[in-house]
Amino acid sequence: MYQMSCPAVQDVHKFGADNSFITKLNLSISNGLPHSIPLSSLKTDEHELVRAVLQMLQGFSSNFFYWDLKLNSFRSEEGIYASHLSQTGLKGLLSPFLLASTCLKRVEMFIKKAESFSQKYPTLSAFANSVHSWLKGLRDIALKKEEALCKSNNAKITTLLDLVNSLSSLFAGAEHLYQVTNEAVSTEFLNSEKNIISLTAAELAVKILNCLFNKLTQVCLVRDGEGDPYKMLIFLFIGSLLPYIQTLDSWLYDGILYDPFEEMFFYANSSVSIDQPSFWETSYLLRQNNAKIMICPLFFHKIGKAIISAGKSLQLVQHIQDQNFVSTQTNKTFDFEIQNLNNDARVLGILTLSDVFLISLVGLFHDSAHIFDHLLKYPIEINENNNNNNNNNNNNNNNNKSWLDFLSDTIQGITKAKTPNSMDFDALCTGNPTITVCKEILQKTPSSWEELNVSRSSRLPPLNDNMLREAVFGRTDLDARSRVSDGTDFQLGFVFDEFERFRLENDRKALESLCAFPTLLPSFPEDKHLSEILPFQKDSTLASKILKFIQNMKLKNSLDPQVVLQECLGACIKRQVDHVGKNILNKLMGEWRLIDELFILRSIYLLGSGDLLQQFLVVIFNRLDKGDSWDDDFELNSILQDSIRNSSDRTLLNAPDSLTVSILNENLNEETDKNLNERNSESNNFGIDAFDKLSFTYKVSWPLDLIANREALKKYNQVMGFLLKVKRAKFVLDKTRKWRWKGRSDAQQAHKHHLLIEQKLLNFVDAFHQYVMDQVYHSAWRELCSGLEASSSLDEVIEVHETYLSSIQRQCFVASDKLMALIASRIKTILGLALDFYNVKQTLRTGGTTQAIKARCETEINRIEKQFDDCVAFLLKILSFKLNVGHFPHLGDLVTRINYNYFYMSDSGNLLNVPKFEGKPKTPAFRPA
Amino acid sequence: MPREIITIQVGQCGNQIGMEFWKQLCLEHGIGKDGLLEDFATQGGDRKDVFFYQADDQHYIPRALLMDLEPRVINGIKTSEYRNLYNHENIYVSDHGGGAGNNWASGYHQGEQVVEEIMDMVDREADGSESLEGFVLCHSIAGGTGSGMGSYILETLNDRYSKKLVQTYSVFPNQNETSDVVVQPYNSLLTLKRLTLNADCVVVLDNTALNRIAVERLNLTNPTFAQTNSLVSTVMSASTTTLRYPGYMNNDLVGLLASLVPTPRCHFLMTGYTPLTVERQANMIRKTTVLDVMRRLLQTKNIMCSSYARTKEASQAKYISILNIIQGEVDPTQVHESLQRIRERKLVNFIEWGPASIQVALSRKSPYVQTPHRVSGLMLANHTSIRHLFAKCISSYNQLRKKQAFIDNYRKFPMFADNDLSEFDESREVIESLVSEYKACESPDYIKWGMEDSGKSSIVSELDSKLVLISAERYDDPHGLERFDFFSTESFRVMSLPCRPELGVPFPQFHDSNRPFFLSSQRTVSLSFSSRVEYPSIPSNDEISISIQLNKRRKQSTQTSSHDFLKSTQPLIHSLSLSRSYINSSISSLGFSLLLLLRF
Repeated sequence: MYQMSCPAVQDVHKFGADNSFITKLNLSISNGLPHSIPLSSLKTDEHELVRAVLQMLQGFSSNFFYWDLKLNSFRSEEGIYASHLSQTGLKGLLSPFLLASTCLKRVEMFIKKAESFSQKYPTLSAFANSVHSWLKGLRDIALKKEEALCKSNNAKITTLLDLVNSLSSLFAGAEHLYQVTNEAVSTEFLNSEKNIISLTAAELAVKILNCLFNKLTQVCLVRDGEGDPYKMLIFLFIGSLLPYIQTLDSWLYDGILYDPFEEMFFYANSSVSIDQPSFWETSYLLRQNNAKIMICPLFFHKIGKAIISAGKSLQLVQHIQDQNFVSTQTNKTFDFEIQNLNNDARVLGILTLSDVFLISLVGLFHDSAHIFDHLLKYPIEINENNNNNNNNNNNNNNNNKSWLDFLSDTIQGITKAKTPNSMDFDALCTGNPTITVCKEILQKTPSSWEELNVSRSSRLPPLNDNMLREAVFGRTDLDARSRVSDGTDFQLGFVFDEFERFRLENDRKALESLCAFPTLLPSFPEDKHLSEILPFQKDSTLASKILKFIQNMKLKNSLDPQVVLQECLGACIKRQVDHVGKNILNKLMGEWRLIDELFILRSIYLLGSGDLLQQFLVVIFNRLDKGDSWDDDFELNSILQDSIRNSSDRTLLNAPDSLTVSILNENLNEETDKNLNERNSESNNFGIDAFDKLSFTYKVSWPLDLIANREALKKYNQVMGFLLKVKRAKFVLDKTRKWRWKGRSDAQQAHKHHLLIEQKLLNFVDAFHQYVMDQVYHSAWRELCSGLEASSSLDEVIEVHETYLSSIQRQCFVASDKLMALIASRIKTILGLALDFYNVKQTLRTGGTTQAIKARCETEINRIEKQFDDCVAFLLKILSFKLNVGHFPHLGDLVTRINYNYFYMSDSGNLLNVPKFEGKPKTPAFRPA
Repeated sequence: MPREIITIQVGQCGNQIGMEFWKQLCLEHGIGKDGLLEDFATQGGDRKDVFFYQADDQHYIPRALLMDLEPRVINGIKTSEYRNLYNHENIYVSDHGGGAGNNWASGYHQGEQVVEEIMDMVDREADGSESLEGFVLCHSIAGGTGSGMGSYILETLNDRYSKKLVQTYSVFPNQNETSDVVVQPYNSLLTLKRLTLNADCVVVLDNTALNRIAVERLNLTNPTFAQTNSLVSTVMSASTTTLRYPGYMNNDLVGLLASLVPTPRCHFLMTGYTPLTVERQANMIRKTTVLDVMRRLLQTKNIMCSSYARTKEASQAKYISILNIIQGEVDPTQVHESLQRIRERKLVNFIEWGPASIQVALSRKSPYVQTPHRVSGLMLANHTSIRHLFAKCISSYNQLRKKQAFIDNYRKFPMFADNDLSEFDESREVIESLVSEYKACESPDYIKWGMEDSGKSSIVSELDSKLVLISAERYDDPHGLERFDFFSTESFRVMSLPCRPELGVPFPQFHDSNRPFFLSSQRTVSLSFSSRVEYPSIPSNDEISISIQLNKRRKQSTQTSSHDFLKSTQPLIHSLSLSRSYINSSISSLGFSLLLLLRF
């Protein structure tokens, strides 16, 4: 350009010189030396440039512009110039074109690259596809310009400047598009030579979706950005989201996780089968990366769990039906039910999640209507609409609701697809003169279609080469393969493999169903998607149609993507989640009798049925009293079975042996290992803690063991262990009381202050009993029931049950809370004291004649009284302190009951009748011996 | 282990209420009149085996023993539609059929005569049960058979089944109407002694109150026995419902009673039931809730115990314990709320010497019996005001005894032969001590009552502790003087203080010279009084109670009183020191100073 080397000049001389007047003039002025004129080959006029630029925008190189592989960008040829433009001016004019073209080209390269991965990364591929559509849209603008250019043909010369102005939105769009692809998929991926993506499919999908989502969130705030960035983003976003939605659809409506590329935000844990109790918790897990961060698109964060649960619930329901199906063999009705269940679930019974999503989108963007609710009432709406149309013949009305068009299209498409026999001839016939002519005849005689089918009629007759084949393969061999025909049959192709044959046959049948007469190819209109031509495909044209619609639509407003997703997808997902939740809840409450099962658990573990374990407990209590051994599992169980059989509540359990008891030996072993002294282990065996060793097992039936699982039973057992202590304390105190009555003529009357201790202990235990019944047994249960009624999914049911468990645990002081532990230790001490008191009384009763024993008993009684007073003082002080009780109002109730007649503590909170409470004791008032 | 309970119904009244009880149980358990389970009674969940057992042909037989000395009532049962329900081997009617003539002594004596026959039946039933928990005795305390024979059975049961619980449903006579049984005070007193000493729990069914409730609450002008008995059967069945429909707690008798009866003697329970309806009273149906039921149960008018006993000294009367058995469609969350409300409103006065509370047992209800009310409740309460009922018994006994009326009828029987009426006196002492124990329960110092600090005095602790409380009663003596009789508790001792208006203060004197002061038969003691007399106001009540606290002081011989205390005539609190012995010089060696606390 500026630096013109001599050869170039000479070249010009050689090739470019002409003998025009101007040249001669120039030569004369410059003394023969030619003017440094540009190469004529590089000279161009603006018209040419415009065309080249437009071509470049479409991705084609030309004389003036080329694709620099190194720099990965379009470059203009060195030295081009236009006659009436300065070089800088030209450069300035060209640079936006170059930039835009480069962007578009790079995007194109990305698309190509992405396509090579499309097999493994559906979302990436969908993203690439929609990018491609958008790219095509952008380039179409350039194409149209070029067409116009050709057509107008000199009528008006388009200048570069004009072009720059008229294509400014294209430039912006191109840049945006490039930027978005860059950001959505890392640049390294775009640039890298390797065909490996370091990210997993899920990570990549999430990255793309999140990026688009975030961009959308930013862009939606800006009004009418240059080059419709919002529109582009929403287009890309919708496109990219479709594979995700499709996977979700099969998960939400069929309970099938078809995710071969592992893109979803959760995955199946194959080690857990559906009939295992841990199914609910561990069968489907949220995908996490190494840093334990959930891999989930932003907008699914909130409803992710619900989605997973819905699918699992579906699986559970289906599993039950399968089981029933297997067991009852009433296949048809159940088939029908399953079908029913799933179909009902879908919107209008047929629309898939993506259908709903797309139609809603159109409704939202084009018609500015929240149509999901209308969608549910579709037939009515459409009828009304039709009526309106008939009455008013109002076209506007129709136009306004373009989503309705899409919807009816879709519905027709689907219903057609479902009934392939009633083929829509029009779809087949368009542009096919042969069929158009024969249309009527064909329609009258569907049987003749078979004949027309070339694949059938062009079949070759089988060869009678049986002998030959027999010679080659041998008879036996052929038998083993169970060949249908003996000779070579070309109907089946040249096949030696059954599967291959079937596959081919299936393929052919599929083709026939898609395109009735494959020999007569329909005419393909330009710009039509393949799916639009193959009308009987289930996954029909809707997605492409709507995407196209959106691409061409004029967006009225830019909505927050959160809102868009909520309106178009969230509502539908929520409906299905609710539907499934309701379904499984119906099952739980109805067929599976959840409440009944929980009631049984309550009867057993919370001792609700006083009778079920009464005999067992009395026997065990008596054994403990006598110091008899009671650690034989078998014997315990037989006592238990006896007790259940003789109980009035035996009908609660299906079979007496559905409840079993076992002894946890771990503690015992440990202690013997530690060589603890005899007395200690003895007191452990027969003391108030004796029942800690017992573990009751109730077999919860499937699928309720998802809710009352092993962990839950463990908690139940803990609570029960505590309640049994209370029971035992009550038992021994009752017994002491009976002694007192029976000993009314004895001289022991003098032991009046024993009476007070006894009264205190019994009152405490009674109050506790009452409290437990009130709080644990009734109130907690009522909360559980109302919680269950209010819950809408299995997850919530599990949660409600967990809350119930932890609340009864807290109420029974077996929770691991620090304050609880403090309180629990005091209460346990008191219960232990009850037992001690009983033992002293027994000693006094049986052998307490000698002074020494009497004295010892007296001191023991005094100790019991002191400890009791300490404990009660502590409890009352702690529990009546509002700050402590605030979180646990039930504790206040306990205080009320213990101190009902203000014996221990006055109304104003002063301790009475008990030794002064000295703050927080440094050491616990009671150390177990 | 069904924890069986054997019911023994004695006498006319006992058999009548027993009959009603069994009718009710049959209804509730869906057992037909012939003992066969009704077709609809399939729900289960109940323990029929507590009160019934099944014969080989599966029909249910009540664990009941029917005893009477005259055949009328039992014949009635035998000819009623329930004739096939009972095991006829369990029916005892005396051969002569002459009854007990409303004479306790006769009933007791006849019981003694046939003890083997009766106990044979009891033993047979007891052996037939797997884990016998106890006996329930239904009887009245006024007549002859129920009281006399019942008393004997009580003693025998206590003797032979000393480990089993004995609960009685005892019907107390109607005090308001003149009874056809004139010796009812004697009978009651003698029976009460056995109830005090030989029963573990007595559910007091006061005919006075039952009548009142029938009149007032049920609007019956002339309640029949059948109607009052239906009240009784309601109470009886309700009080056993936790045993028959076992729930979370109170599913055995001992557990039920243990918290109700803290001390061995104070085991007399009042009952209350609400809402009460008899048939055809639809207009009386109201909305029932837990709070409503619990509140009504505390109202005097709903309590099946003489109202005069309840209203008298109501401010001092205290609940020792309460158990409410609530049946029906209960909202369990309301229980605690109701308890708190009751506490806030101070509707209950509890003892102060120990912790006490209202226990609430929520019980299932029979699915086969339809009641118009959603919630119904029974209260079993140990209330100190019941002592007024006993005091009334004593006072009517005293009146009768003073006249020596009808004593001859009793002298015919061995126990009272040779004019040995010590049984009466002993019974009276027992009841008096019971009264004073209940009275003592009202004071915060009950625990100290009856026992001295053992460190202080060995003499006092060695003395019979029951000596301490004295109750007094005012009456007009034949000379026109107002007198106060003082009763100690355990050992029968009376001193009579003539109330001289001009002196204002009773003057201690022996009432019965035949039976002078004695503390216990083995010991001779002399007493000196140091007393503090409190006159909060001019006495308007019929009754004065005096508590005397023993102080150890060794005193030599006797002194004649200077009558110091007589000088203090002001009707306000006085502290008098009285050092006068009222004792024959012959029985002197130990001296005590007694602190007299007079409270009007």
